[in-house]
Amino acid sequence: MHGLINRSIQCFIRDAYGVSAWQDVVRHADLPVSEFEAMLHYDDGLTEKILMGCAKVLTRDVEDVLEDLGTHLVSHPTTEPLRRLLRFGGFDFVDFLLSLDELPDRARLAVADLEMPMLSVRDCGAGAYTLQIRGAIPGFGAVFVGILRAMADDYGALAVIERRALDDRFDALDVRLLDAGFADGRSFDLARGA
Amino acid sequence: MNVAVSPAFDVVSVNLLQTLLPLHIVVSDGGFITQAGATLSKISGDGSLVGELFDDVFEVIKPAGLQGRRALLATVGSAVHLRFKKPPYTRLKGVVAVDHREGLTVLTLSFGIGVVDAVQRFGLTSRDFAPNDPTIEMLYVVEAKSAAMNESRKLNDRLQHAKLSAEHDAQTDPLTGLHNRRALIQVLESAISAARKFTLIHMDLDYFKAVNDRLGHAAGDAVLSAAAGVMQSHFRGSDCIARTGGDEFVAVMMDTTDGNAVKKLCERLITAIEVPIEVDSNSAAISGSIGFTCSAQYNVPQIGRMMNDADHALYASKRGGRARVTQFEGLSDGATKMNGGPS
Repeated sequence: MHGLINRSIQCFIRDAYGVSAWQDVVRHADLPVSEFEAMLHYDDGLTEKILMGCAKVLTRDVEDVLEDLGTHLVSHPTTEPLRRLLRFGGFDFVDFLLSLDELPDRARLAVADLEMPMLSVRDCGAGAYTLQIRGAIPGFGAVFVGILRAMADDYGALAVIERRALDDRFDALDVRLLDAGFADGRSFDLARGA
Repeated sequence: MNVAVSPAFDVVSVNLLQTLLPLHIVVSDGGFITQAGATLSKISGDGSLVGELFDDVFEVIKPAGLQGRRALLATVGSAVHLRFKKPPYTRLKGVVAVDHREGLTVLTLSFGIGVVDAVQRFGLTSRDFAPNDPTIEMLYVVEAKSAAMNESRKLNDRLQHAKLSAEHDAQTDPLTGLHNRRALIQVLESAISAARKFTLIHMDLDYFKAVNDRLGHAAGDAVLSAAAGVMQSHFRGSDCIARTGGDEFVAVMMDTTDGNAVKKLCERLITAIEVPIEVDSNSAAISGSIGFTCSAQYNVPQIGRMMNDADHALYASKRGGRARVTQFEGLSDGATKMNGGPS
């Protein structure tokens, strides 16, 4: 598993629940290392162990943890680089939604060896969209619920997102856009630090 | 709006160019700009470029030596480089096509390699580029790669720090912070291979075992640390001081060959070590015996032999009644004579 994924979970727990919560996760899950490096690779089974540890320490379902992880990836100051990269996908929320099937290719341009699920997006008309997620990694669907909710906020759009888990590795997310210009959203300049 | 300048202008072409090329200009036979793409107008500063003379707005950088419409005509189909004549003198690169029927010159332009600066300077958004223009993707890749590079650099920094710290730990005696035997051997090896002269000093604490037995190991450790501090204050920063065993220390004085000077220094060291050390309101009094040898005493200095000889000299000091300094002296017949030890 790519270290970016394990590192993201670690940073999420640390930022949202504190360093001691992360240390609890390391202990409960009996992890071989206490710090994950974004640019290294780890055993595949480790990610699941981390997630089980998080669920136990936070006394929450793994899926809830994953959803909050998705929100954190977009909305926390420490993950600002990722938010910016996602905002390159579209000028507004709809543009962004429709660009999601390019996301695996975009991710590979950034990090060549990052394994991403296959994404396909369909415009169902009248502000309804469906995002299908097929991936080698179970749980990506829940992460995307969090990512899409946070991205809707980021663009200032009001959207309802519901997840249908079709099977272990196949999720469908139904997105209903209620108001594309609901709020101002956060700013995005093409130029960094502009 | 272009009609005043060029009545013959083809309206269909205008719309085509506006849709397809946000960074284009059209220049009339007379050298006037008759049309400009929306993005080009945005960066020109004071609104539309339309109606201005091409030569007033742009300088042709390449091809060199030609200016204005003549330069454009000379570069049809190949690259032309322009620069705004007004600050911030933005550079553009493009290609020229000529519509001879209408007497129009059309340029489509790009920021080239300067696009990252231009986007920042003019606050451009994805809407300022045509959807088929890969500029936005390029900006994405630039930013993604620098984010990845940044992570790599942080990882490298952490690894470098861990490496230095592991190297330091591998060469350090954890109790006293002095070098350990491994570091000492490295220093001796490099001194010998660089043919540098040095003096090897071997010191053994006297009465240390008694302190350990009477006050305990914790007190013994405190005494060793205190003795290490005294040694550090007597040698130079460039000298190597190592703890090589329980109460044994070795110092290497680089570029020092004067036996008398070393002897005096070692005697001062012993005097300083004899100052009683307070440990948990107990007083611990120790001393030290020293033997030393100098690399200049050997035709071919060898670590093992020199360590052995310094050790012999040290035991001569011990046998002589402790708290004294002996220089090893090797004789050609292999027998040894001690200078400063028992006669």
